[in-house]
Amino acid sequence: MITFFCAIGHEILYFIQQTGKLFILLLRSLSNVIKPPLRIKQTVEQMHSVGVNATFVVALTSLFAGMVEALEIYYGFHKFGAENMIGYTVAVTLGREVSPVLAALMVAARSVSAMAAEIGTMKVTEQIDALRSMAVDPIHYLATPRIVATTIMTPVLVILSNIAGNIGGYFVSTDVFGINSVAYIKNIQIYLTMHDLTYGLIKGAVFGLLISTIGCFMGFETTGGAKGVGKSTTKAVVVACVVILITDYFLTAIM
Amino acid sequence: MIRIENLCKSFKQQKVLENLNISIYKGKVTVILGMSGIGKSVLLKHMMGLLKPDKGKIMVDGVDIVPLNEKKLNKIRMKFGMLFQDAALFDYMNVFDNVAFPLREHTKMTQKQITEKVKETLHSVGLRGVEEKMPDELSGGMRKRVGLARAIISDPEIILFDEPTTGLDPIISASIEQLIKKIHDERKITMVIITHEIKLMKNIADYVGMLHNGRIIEFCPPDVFMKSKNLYVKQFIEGNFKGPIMV
Repeated sequence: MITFFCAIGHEILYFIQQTGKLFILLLRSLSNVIKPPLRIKQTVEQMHSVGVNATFVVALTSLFAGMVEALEIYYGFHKFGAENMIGYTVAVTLGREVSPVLAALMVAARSVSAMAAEIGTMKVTEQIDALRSMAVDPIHYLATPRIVATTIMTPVLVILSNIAGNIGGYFVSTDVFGINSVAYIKNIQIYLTMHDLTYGLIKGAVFGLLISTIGCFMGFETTGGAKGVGKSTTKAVVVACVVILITDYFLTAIM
Repeated sequence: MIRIENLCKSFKQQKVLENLNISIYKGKVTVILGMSGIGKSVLLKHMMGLLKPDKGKIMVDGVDIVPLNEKKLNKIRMKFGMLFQDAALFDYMNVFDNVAFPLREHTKMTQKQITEKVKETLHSVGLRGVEEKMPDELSGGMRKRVGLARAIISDPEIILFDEPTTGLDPIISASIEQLIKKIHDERKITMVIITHEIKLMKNIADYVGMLHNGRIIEFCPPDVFMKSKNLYVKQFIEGNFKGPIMV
C-alpha cells in the first residue's frame, strides 16, 4: 500500500518538476527573442517549415471540416427552417473553434514532432553539447526560433483554415442542399464579427506558443539513443494535442 | 591551468567520480586512461562546465567554474575546443558550415575571411575539397578531422579530446595521432585526451592519469607510468582480464 502511494507521489512530483522545467524553457526562450545575435535566418527557416509546408494539409483538412460542418448543421437547422443560417454557423464555429484547434493539431502532428525528433537527435548525438562547448546557448539557437516561428505561423494557418473551411461549407450548402448563395454569404456578413475571427487568431497564437515549447522541451529531455528519440517524439505529439484541447476549454471560458 | 579538487559526481544511485583530484598543466598533453564506461567522458565534460558536479572545485586559470551560470561559463568555454567521440558534427550542415560555425557565432569576420580561414584550417588537418560534403558522406576518420578543424578554428588555449582514435583502423588512428601531435607542436596548446589506447598515450602524452573507481589512481609521465607498480595500472597496461580490476 505504501509503495502504491509512493508511486503516485513520485509521479505527481515528476509532473510538477517537468511542468516547472517546461515553463522555465518557455521564459528563457522568450527572454532570448531580442538578445543578440538575432536568429532571423533560423526563424525564417522555421516559419517556412511550420507554416508554408503545412498549407496543403491544413487547407485539405479544413476544407473537409467545413464540408462536414455544413452537412451536420443542415440536418439540425432543416428541422426549424433555419437553413439560411448555415453559412454564419459554419463561419463562426470555424473562426472561434474548429480552425484554431485543427490548425494547431496539424502543427503538432507535423512540426512539433519534428522539433522533438530534431532536437532529441542532436541531444543523443552530443550535438547539443557541441553547441554548448562552442559557447552557444542551445535554447537561444534551437528553441527560440522554433517557438517564435510557430507562434507567428499558427494564426496564419488559422486564417487559411478559415478560408478553406468556409469554401467547403459554401459548396456543400449551395450545391448539395441548394441553399441560396446570396443568403448564405449575406448572413455571414451580418452576423460574423471581427471579434469572432481575432478570437480564433489569439487561440492559434497561444496554441503555437505552447506546443512548440513542448516540442523543444521533449527534445531537450531526450535520453537513450534512437529509442529515446522515438519516445520523445510520440510524447511531444500526445502532450501537445492534450494541451491544445485543455487550453482551448480554458481560453473559451476566459474569452 | 586546470585544477580539479575533490570532484564528486553521481547519476541517480551510481557514483561515477568520487573525490577526484587532478592538475592539467599549461602547454602539456595530458592523457587520461581508464576502462570503458568508467567516467572518462564525464570527467572531460566537467572541465568545460558541460556537467555540474555534486561536489568539488574545477579551477580554470584560477577561476572556480562550478558556481558560474551559463553566461559566465560561456566566457570560460571560449578558451576551449573539444573533439567529441563521434565528432558531434551538426548533421544538417555541410563541412564548411560546421567548421565556420564558431567564427560566425563569435567573430565579426567577413564571409571572405571566414572562407579563407576554414580552407586553411581544413588544409591543416589534411582535408581538401570536402567543404560541400554532408557529415553522413564522410568516413569516421574524416569526421574526426572535421571535428578537430572545428575545435581548433577559433584558436583555443585548451583542447579536449574524447576518444579521438576509438573506432578507427590502425592506419587512420596513427594519422589522427600524428595530427594531434603536429597541432600541439605548432601551437603549444594544452591538450587533455581521454582514451583507453596505450599506444596513443605512449606516443603523445607528457603526463598520464589513470581513472579507476571514480579517482585518479596514478598520475605521472608515460615512462614512469609504464613501469608503475600499481596493480590496477599493471593489469590495464598488460590488458589482462585477471587481476584487481573485475570485469
